[in-house]
Amino acid sequence: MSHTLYAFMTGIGFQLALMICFCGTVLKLLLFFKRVARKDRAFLTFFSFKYAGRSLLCHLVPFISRTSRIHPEMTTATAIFHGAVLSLPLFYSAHGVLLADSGLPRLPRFPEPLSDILALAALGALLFFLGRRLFLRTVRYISTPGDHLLLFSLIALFASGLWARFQMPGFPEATLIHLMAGNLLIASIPFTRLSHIFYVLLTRGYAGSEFGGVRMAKDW
Amino acid sequence: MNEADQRIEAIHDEGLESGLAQFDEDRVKKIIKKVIEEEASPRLDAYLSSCVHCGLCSDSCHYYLSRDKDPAYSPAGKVKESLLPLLRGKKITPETLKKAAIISYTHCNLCRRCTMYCPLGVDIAYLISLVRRICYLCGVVPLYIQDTANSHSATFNQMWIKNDEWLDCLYWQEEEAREELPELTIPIEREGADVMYSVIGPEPKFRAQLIYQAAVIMEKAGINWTFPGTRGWDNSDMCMYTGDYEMMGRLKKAHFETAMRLKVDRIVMGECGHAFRSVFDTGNRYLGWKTPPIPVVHAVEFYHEILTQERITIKKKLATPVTFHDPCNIVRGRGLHEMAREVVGICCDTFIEMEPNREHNYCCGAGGGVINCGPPFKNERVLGNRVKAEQLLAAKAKGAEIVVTPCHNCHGGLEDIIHHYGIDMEIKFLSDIIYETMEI
Repeated sequence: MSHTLYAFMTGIGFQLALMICFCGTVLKLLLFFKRVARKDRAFLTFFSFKYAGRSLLCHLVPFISRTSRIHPEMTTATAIFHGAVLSLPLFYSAHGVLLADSGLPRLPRFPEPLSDILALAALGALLFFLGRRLFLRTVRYISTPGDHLLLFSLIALFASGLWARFQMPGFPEATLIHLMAGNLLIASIPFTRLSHIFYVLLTRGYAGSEFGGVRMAKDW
Repeated sequence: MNEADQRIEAIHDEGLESGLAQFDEDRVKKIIKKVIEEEASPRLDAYLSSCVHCGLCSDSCHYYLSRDKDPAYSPAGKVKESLLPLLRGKKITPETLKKAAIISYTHCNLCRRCTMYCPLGVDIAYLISLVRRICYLCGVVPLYIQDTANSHSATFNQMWIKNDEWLDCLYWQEEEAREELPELTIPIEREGADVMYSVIGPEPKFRAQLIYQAAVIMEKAGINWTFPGTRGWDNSDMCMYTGDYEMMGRLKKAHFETAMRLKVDRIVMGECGHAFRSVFDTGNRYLGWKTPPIPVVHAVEFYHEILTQERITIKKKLATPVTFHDPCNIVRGRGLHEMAREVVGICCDTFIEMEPNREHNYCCGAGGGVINCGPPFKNERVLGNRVKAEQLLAAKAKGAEIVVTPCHNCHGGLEDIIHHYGIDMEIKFLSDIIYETMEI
């Protein structure tokens, strides 16, 4: 049973997750631009790649924006988490093997210690986010059950991944949890708050365009 | 019930109450559907879908900081308490709508500071404006600001000033100024002038000396200028803030068409922030103009121009130490902070910065139409901007005795803060210090 599940999760299940993610994202973006053309032409008129790029850069690179400087602990945790969650799926050696087996070109692979440290640090960052959600009054006030579910899914992803990596007792089940959580998270990208992965280019980009191109002001 | 909710419940405003007396849930739901489906930008969905509820916007908001970090005053908290119940609530009650109206009209200055602090660039001011639009269409608007908007509708100025009163004020100020400069004129309806100078309604109503000072500055700088003698002279716009976008469009159309009729090269606007936002950024877009159809220059740019070109000369710099308050709508809205500082530097000996400053400056608390919502909300407005008082006190401790700010709303907001917190500081416009120090 677990072999069948493993085969499904690394095969059709994974491809399905990617397909849902890809199609969902394309659909969301198509709908966005269709509605923009109908209701908010100003978006197209004022969007500037130059100022959008400037704003994205200033907000993505840690400690440039004022908001990242006044929250150094959050900035550090966010940078570590995003660094790990964007790089490990592609460059962690075991993922590399699976991707190569799927017929994809061989990608460079992180040394094992680097992957381990990144994954552990990301897990720490996620626990930090959880702590904020639970104990910071302001964050707790705006948190929804969906936010907690998303966070728990990510914690499950990293914890089960580490569990499997170090082959601790019950690691075959941990592997399945890891694969399931990974596939579900990939598939949910266009339909949950994870959509900020692609929407940020439009939302931060548009803010940067307005601030830089129209209002001649910095927005970081 | 939290403290913020208790304060909201205690509010009694005739405008809100009379609107709520007509409450019909089906009608409200139809209005919301119409606004969301026909008017709202798809950015709305992008903002609501992608906000990860990290709370990083909170520390940008002066209400939140001043209310001891009460989460109900954080930008995301305000969206949660105003917009989301209207969009996602199964049942909408009069209480839901009242709360949404009070939060959107009086707990947010639409200052756009939070957009700078949100890593994802969620435009909270846009979201709050949507709530205002819904409330306006439901007829649930605070009395005082709706009265101002009614004045715009009836007279095309915000102070119920009749046209003969406007002209009378200009003649009166011309006579006053001739005591000082016998050759001075305040030109009215001068076709083909280089500059149409436009002001907001409160100038002829309460601050006529600003018209006097502007006339002296124009005269000494040798500007070929004119005031309009007809409607279109007032560049202000409270309809933009109530959510009455149709009237906002009419106001801006009248303003631009007046300038075109007079065949001027450009419009120079007096020292007002919200009017600049309306003419330069919002109203023009409503009319379909990417940029205003006639070049629009804020007073800060104009004063900078005539001072750096030495069209007027400063006789003796002001010796009293001054600080500068950056108005949101011309700093985050136009990046005029450096020019303003240069103007202050030309006119004053000692300049003391407030912290934070420039694009990061805290709003005065009056902007976004909040001060125009009147007495029922004054307490909230002043207590909700303790951080501004702290900023002023810090500048005062460094020696600043005067706050210079080129915005009418900022003057109103800062005056209330100064009185409430007992800060011994004077507030001046740039034209005040230019007039005081220039060679006449």
